Parts: sequence; structure tokens; C-alpha cells
Amino acid sequence: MKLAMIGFGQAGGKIVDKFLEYDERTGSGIVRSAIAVNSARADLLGLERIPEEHRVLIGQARVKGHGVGADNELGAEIAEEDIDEVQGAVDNIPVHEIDAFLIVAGLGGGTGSGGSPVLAKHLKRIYTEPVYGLGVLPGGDEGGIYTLNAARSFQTFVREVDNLLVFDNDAWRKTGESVEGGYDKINDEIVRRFGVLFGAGEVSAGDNVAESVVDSSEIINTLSGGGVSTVGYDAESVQPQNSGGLLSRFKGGNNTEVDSASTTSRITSLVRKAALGRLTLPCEIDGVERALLVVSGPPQHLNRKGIERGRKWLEEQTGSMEVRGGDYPLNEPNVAAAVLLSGVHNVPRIKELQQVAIEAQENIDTIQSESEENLETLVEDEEDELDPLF
Amino acid sequence: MSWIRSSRVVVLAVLLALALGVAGTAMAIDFNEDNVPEEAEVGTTETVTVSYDVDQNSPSTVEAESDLDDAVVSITASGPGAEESDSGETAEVEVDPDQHSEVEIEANGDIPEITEFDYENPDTEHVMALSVREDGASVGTWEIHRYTEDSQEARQALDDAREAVEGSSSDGAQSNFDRAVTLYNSGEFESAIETAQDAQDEAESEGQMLQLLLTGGAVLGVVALIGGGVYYWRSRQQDTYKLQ
Ligand SMILES: Nc1nc2c(ncn2[C@@H]2O[C@H](COP(=O)(O)OP(=O)(O)O)[C@@H](O)[C@H]2O)c(=O)[nH]1
Ligand SMILES: [Mg+2]
Repeated sequence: MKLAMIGFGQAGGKIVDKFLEYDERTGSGIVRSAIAVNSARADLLGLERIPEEHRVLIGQARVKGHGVGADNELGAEIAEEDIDEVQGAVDNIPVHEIDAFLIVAGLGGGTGSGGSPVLAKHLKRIYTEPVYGLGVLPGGDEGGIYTLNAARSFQTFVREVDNLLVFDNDAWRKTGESVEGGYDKINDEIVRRFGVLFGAGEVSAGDNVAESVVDSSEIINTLSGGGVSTVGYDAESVQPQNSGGLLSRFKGGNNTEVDSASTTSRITSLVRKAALGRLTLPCEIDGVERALLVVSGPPQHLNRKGIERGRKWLEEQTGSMEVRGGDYPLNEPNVAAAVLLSGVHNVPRIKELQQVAIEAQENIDTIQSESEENLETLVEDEEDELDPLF
Repeated sequence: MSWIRSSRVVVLAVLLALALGVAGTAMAIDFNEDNVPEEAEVGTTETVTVSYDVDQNSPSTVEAESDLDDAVVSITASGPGAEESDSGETAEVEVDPDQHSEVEIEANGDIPEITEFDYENPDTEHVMALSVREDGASVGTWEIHRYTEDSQEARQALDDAREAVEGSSSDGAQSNFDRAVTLYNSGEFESAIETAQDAQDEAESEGQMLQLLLTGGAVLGVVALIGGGVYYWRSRQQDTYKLQ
């Protein structure tokens, strides 16, 4: 599946940069075009792979390239004011060559949090291609304002995109390690998960084309219907196979055949681990509306029975009749299962996020209303004997 | 402000609990646990027996019940010249200190299926085997930890892995272990065992590496250098992989 990726804000830019690196390294061919949008000049300069002419600085008139300081209302305003500059960069995208747009942003900050829903709304009005969001939720230790930003942006972003894929930093925080220090590793995890998923629809002619390869339309259909999505993933190493080397041809025989029972059980076990292990957004999988299973690895290690069993198992676990499945053949000594769960409803983390956000909002309101009084008592003398200058 | 308020609530709750606790222990019975298995396999038949010496001053009603499958509960109050007993799904006996000196209470039944697995809170997997009330107030409850062959094997694998993981600083081992716990809790024991073993392997291989580096001197330094080179070479090789 070919995507036009737009990284909004610092986190968004860094993650899109990582996608480019992954694409380059693995030859996945997912990112057709990449754009970074930010109100902070320094953040744009910090990017490595997004071409400089695709880096758009917005809000210069208002914040002079210094960012919006986690004020996402301001983020939304300047995105709206400077949407033409963003569109200028989007104009360079060969839209007929892409399957969808993907807007990536950290929802806890200011620029990406406020701007990405604005951009989604704009793109949807202009293009017929689906517009997806990849929203990153802040870690629980980041504080009330980030949580409040995320809760408000989440609500708006879900409404404006065709599907919001969510990654929760909080679930991926290692104990005793601040998220800050771990962003690099976390970003690798993000990119691997979504990379395998989107890469599945991008099997090139040179690869081994199997019977049941996942294609872009299956990803799009799983995401259509909207709502919120999460991804589960698990991988395992397997013995590298010498497929069709001179020596093995000489020996004849079928030494590249892999025991089919163990192949099946490896796949089903990977599917379970993927769906029951850590999801990008932890949630109850019971009641999920649609799902897509992608099993990837060397063709000798993929079989239809395993994928079919994994798919059936997902149907049982989710209670959904709309579970798609297929393979993504790759020549590398690993087998992996990626599970896209679309239309999730039972997400305790979101409820918790909203609760904390409401508390933060109330706290801010109280302090604001008290602050005027407090300032008054400070500035005015008690008997009101002093007069202001003018 | 809200912190103060909530801490007040906590203090109140603690006081209340203490008060109730005191009331509860005022008539505590000192049970002998004649036969109380700590754990049992689902489907097996188990018996729990407790008894106590009567030292109350006035007559009391003793009742017993059990959550075991097809449970039969019995209470026998006996003394030099009298015996009173009752048995059935639940049992109830009037204990009269003038006549009875000892009370024996027993529950027999099958260990029921486990409805919820929880590695970190094994209590969740317990079944209430016997519960005794005196004049309507609970005076004792005995629970048995239950398991199936698979769940026990998985719990054991997780215990082993936990030990290894706790002694290491490997993030991969820790996250594999967390996943194994999730799998265990959802009843996926086969996968839980596999994942726990992965975690253990990872933790131990890291431990061995550490050992090697710690005990080694200059010679090992060279070995490590070569090892590092190989690792670097391999990771360079792997760089083009998509899946892990
Ligand atoms: N996963 C991930 N999250 C990030 C990264 N950088 C920042 N974040 C998260 O994104 C949120 C928004 O930060 P940022 O993108 O800097 O805000 P913006 O530049 O104003 O849009 C933070 O609260 C973090 O939770 C990153 O590199 N990776
Ligand atoms: Mg920032």
C-alpha cells in the first residue's frame, strides 16, 4: 500500500522520518511521499530524511518559528490560517499514485495535536483518497496538560479521519525509564508494526507471489467504517532456508519443505500472541468490528491452514464476522503475525485519559478564576488609598 | 485540597475497618485445621476438615457451606453424653456448651472449573472450600488454590521466568515476560509457556554475557571486541529485515 505521509508536529515528523528510514532499509516501498509540518523551526531542522522542500513551517507570523508550546488551540488556529502553505507541499504529491494519506502526530503536544485534525478535514474535502490518522497518546507521567490536549485532539481527530490508528506511549513505557529516553526504540516499534501492515499490500513483482497475498484494498476495507484501530504484532526467528540455491538443486529432494504441522502451529501461536500481547492501543478485543490478519515470512514457512486457523480464532475472539486474512511473503529468516483490529470500543485507557483530562480542565478553570482575584488583592492596597497613574 | 479530603476518607475507612475487625474478633473461634489442602487440581475430589473446642458460654447456631461442586457439608457437635450433627449441601447445628465439647466441620466435593486466571493474583484462582458462620457472622473461610495440568505447568514456567527476568535488565526479556503473563491470564497456556521460556532464555543469555564481561580481563576484552564485531556484523546483516 502506497501512502502519502504527513508528519505534523515534532513526534509526527520524527515518526515519518523513521518510516522513510525503514522503507529505505527494507525496500518496503510504503512511503510514496513524505511531508513534515511544524510551527517550530528547530524541529524541522532536526529531521534527517524528509526532503527539505517538503518541510513546511507554519504560523511564522504568530509564533516566529518557536512552536506553540503545547497550546493545541493555537496549533489548530495556525494550521487553519496557513493551510494553503501545507496544501502547497501536498500539491507536489502524485496523488494518483497513492492509496491513502496518513497524518501522523503526537496528540499530547500543541502543533500536531491541534493541527492534524484541521489538515484531515481539509484533505478529505479535496481528495477522494482515504485520509487516515496515526495518533500517539502521551505517557501517563507527562502531566495534565498533555492529557487534556490528547483527549480533545483524539475526539476531533477521530471525527475528521477515515480511521484513527492509535499508539499509546503509556503502554510502551518501560518501567523505570522515562518515555523521553525511549522514543527511539518506541518509534522503531511503531514503524515496524505499521510498516509490516502497510507493506503487506505492496508485494513487488520480484517477490514470491503466493495465492493469498493481502492487497491494499483489504487494508482499506478493514479500515473503512471508521473509528479507532489498534495493531497487535509478534515475530519469531526461523531457520534460514536455502531456497533454490545451486547446491540444493543438485541434491534434489524436497529439503526446502518445512514440516507443515509445525508451520501451522507456529502461525496460530503467533496470531494469538499478537492479538493477546501488547497492542499499540491496549483494549478488549471482544466486540471489535473488523480485523485483518497478515502473516509474513518466507513462503516455505507460510501455509494456508495456519492463516485460516488464525483467522477463525480471531473471529471467535472478536465476535466479528468481518475478519480478513492473508500472507505477505518475504525472504528473511523470521515469521510474524500482524493483527489490525479496527473499530475498537472497549478501551479503558481512553476513558481514563478523558477522566484525567476533565480533572485537568477543572483545575485550570479554578486556578484561572482565582488568579484574577489573587492578583487584585496583591496589586491593590487594602484601604484603596493609592491611585493608578492613568 | 482534594488530597487532604481523600486522605481523611482513607483514615475514616481504616478506623471503620478496625472497629469492625475488633467486633469480629471478639467472638473469634480458634480452629484446628485438621485437613486443609493448599491446592488441588480441577475435577479432583477434596475434603476440608476443621474443628474447635467449645469454650463459649451460651448456645450458638453454627452453619457451614462450600462452593465445591456437588459439595456435602457436615457439622458434628459432640460431648461426653451427646452428639448432634447435620449434613447436606449446607449444614446447621445448635451447639450447646453444656453438652458439647468439640465441633468438627467438614466439606467434601469436586474442585470446580476455573473461570478466571490471574497470574499475579493467584487468589482469583481460589475456590472457597468451606465457610463457617456462628450466629450468622462469618468466623472462618478456607480456600483452595486450584489449577489444571496446563495452568500449573504455565504458572511454573512463569515463576521460573520471573526469577530469571528479575535478575536481569533485559528489556526484551521483561516485555516477553509481560506478554507471557497476559497469555496466561487469558488461558493461553501453551503460548504462555513458550513466551515465558523466550523471556527466560533472553534473560539468561544476557546474564551469561554479563558474567563473561565481569569475570574477564584483558583477554576477554579481546573476545568481547570480536564478539562485538560479530554482533555488529550480524546486526548490519539484519538491518534489511522487516519483521524483527
Ligand atoms: N512515540 C513518540 N511520541 C513522541 C515523540 N516525541 C513526542 N512524543 C509524544 O508526542 C506528544 C506531543 O509532542 P510533540 O510532537 O513534541 O508536540 P508538537 O511538536 O507541539 O506537535 C508528547 O506529549 C509525547 O507524548 C516521539 O519521538 N515518539
Ligand atoms: Mg515538542
